[in-house]
Amino acid sequence: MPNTPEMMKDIVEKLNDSEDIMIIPLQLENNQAFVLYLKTVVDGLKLQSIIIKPFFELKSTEYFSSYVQSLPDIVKMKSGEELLLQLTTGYVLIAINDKFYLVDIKMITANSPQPALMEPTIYGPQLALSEAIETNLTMIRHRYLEPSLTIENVVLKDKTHQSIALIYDRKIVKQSVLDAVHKKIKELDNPLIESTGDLQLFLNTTKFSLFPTLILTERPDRITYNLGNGKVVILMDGSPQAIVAPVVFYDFMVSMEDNYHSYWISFFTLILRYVGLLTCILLPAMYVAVTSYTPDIFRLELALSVAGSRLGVPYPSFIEVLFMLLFMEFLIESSIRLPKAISATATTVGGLILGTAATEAALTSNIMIIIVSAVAITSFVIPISEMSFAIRICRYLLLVFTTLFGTVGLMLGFLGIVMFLTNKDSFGEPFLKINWKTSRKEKEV
Amino acid sequence: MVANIIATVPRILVYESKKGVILSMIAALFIGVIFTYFVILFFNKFSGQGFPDILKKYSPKWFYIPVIIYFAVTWFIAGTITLITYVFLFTTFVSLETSLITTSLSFVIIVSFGMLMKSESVLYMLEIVFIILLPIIIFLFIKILTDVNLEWDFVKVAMMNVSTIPSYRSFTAASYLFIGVVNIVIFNSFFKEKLRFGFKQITIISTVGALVLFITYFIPIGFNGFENIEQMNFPWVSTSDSVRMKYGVIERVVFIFIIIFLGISFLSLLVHWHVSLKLFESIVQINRLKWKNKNLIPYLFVILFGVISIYLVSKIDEYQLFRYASNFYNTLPIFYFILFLSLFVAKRRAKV
Repeated sequence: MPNTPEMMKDIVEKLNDSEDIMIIPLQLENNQAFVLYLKTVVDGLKLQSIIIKPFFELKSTEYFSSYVQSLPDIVKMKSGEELLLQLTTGYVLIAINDKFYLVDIKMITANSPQPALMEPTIYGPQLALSEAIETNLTMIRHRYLEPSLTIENVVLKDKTHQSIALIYDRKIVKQSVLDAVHKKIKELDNPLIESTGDLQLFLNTTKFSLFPTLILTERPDRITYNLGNGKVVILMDGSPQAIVAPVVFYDFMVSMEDNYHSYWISFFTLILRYVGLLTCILLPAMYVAVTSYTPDIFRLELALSVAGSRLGVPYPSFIEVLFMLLFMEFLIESSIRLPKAISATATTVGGLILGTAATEAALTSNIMIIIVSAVAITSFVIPISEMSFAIRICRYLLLVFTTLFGTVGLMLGFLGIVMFLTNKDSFGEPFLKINWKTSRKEKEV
Repeated sequence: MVANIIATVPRILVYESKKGVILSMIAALFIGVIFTYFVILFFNKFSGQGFPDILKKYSPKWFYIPVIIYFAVTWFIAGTITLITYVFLFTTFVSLETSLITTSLSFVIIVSFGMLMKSESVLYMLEIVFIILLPIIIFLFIKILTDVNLEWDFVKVAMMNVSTIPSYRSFTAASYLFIGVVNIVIFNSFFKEKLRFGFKQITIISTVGALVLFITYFIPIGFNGFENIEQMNFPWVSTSDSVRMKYGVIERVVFIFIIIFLGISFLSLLVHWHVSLKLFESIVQINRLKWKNKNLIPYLFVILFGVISIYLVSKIDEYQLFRYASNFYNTLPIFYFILFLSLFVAKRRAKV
């Protein structure tokens, strides 16, 4: 039995003799070599065809040595902690005559592109990113064939040791943003980062933030569109969403659909989304302001209708609004997790209870039902769900402010939200700003 | 310029309606444009620097500290006048039962957050809100101008008073329209390139200024008659109450007017108090007041502004507001004088 090299015995000890460590001695007459790897992360078939079979077909260890050194997946030999890390990632340690080589024979699971479920469109590509970073990088390179596309690999320092890829177009990217992203990634010190959803929160500047400053997307066409505009894209292994930095408010209201339709159609759809956004925020607060503070704002017939619909409701209007909005939130939240079997029942229950029964019991007014359904529908008009959730919370803040201060509170609260958005910035870009044609000097082009 | 309708300017102008308003308005138009030109000319020489920085570099301490304190207090008072006028207006016309303190508290809370923003964000915010509200304002003005009840005969009667000697009060009140340009003292740090104030800009500003002055003074007279117009407390708002939109969701135009001018007066208040806060910050730099590495001075001033303005809202009544605002506008030429003096001194020293 040939002796296994000392280093390999050390490594087995350091990895605590785990069940999946394999040391395979290869011996044929006078040639011998050793292969050390973790069975669970290495592709067995590929190992067999690339490493083990040629050993038994080549004449001597020198031939085998040169063969191994010219494999496309070979990497530089590491030592110590890094070596252990490489082994857990799926690298294979080969020992030939006291020389050691590391070859990448990773087993890739879940590498098929999935259909786009979060951001569906009618036209355009229907496949979204997969969960393996190699496949994603292939998909993006495939679509963006500029030679100046740069891919940088960064390894995270947390317990998962995932690798992140930073992608940008070297010619168009804004240097200040790139530096800021690099700095932020170096400063990360969280113990466990699971996916890009986590990562985008940790890359955020403030701990208690409401509005998202980075956008998550799963569509490769959105990624290439952003790359072509000079943004930086971050991919992480194991996560089917990519992070795009920096981002402005306008990016959240645009769906990729707008690029595939004619100008006036996209213009109309964009205006529709903004009107939906305004409705979603303002309508419940406006109801409180009009019924409780200044009912005579509206014209006579409308004022009488609004005031009359509240006949018999036993509590003040803001409690009514709060009650209905909370009920709607419960409905929306539970419908994410409903099993398909009872989803129809739940919709009926929600619709019936919300709609007919509450009005007949005089617990809410008719107009409140209309407002709640309008609000529920318009809150999903926003294409990116992060912003949609943030807007849902803003609605409650505005409601509280209007309840306290009346019609003044409604307008001022809305202006306050606009002010908060203008004050935010995402990696140096102002978050909310009207994009006039800036002069060349300001754009630093 | 548009915000002057919220300030007490129309009230002062119609109060002086029999004492030579028209000549003073024309004089104010000319002098306002000329002053604007000079201010921009001076600030072009120091592109990219704010006014406190310019003064600190080129003038001794005993000069710039009183000047900056005077400017900061002036801006604060200008903002407070807008706030108090608007709160009175809102309480009179829209919701009578809300107490003054509640309404002004809501203003103070939101403007406090706005004051602490970066100056750049204030500019972006101005742009956004103004662009959203401006079409509605133009629509309102057109609606009021083309209303059936507007009697042009009254306007012609008012215009016949052109040969009376202008009065100082109406001159300063009318020139308040053009004071917006001096906000450049703080915002100049963002204008890295020289601002162009050539022929095109002068024409635009004079035309818009003349139009706004005309509308501010003559339209209330057109609706209410020339004889007793000086008795009205809020001439402009009462005027807009006489217009009806027959097919609109909101029938009385006064409500649209008040809500739109809430936005405008909020912007005016925000800019004035932001400039005032930045001016105060540039002088008062006590290093002891630091908590967790954050400078507490701005927060202190914000609370101070809020407390003073809420106190004033509850103590002043409408007549006092009118008198104090009028006296404040009378002191504005001194402000211009000191501004030009300090800029001239700085320009001289910069060359040397």
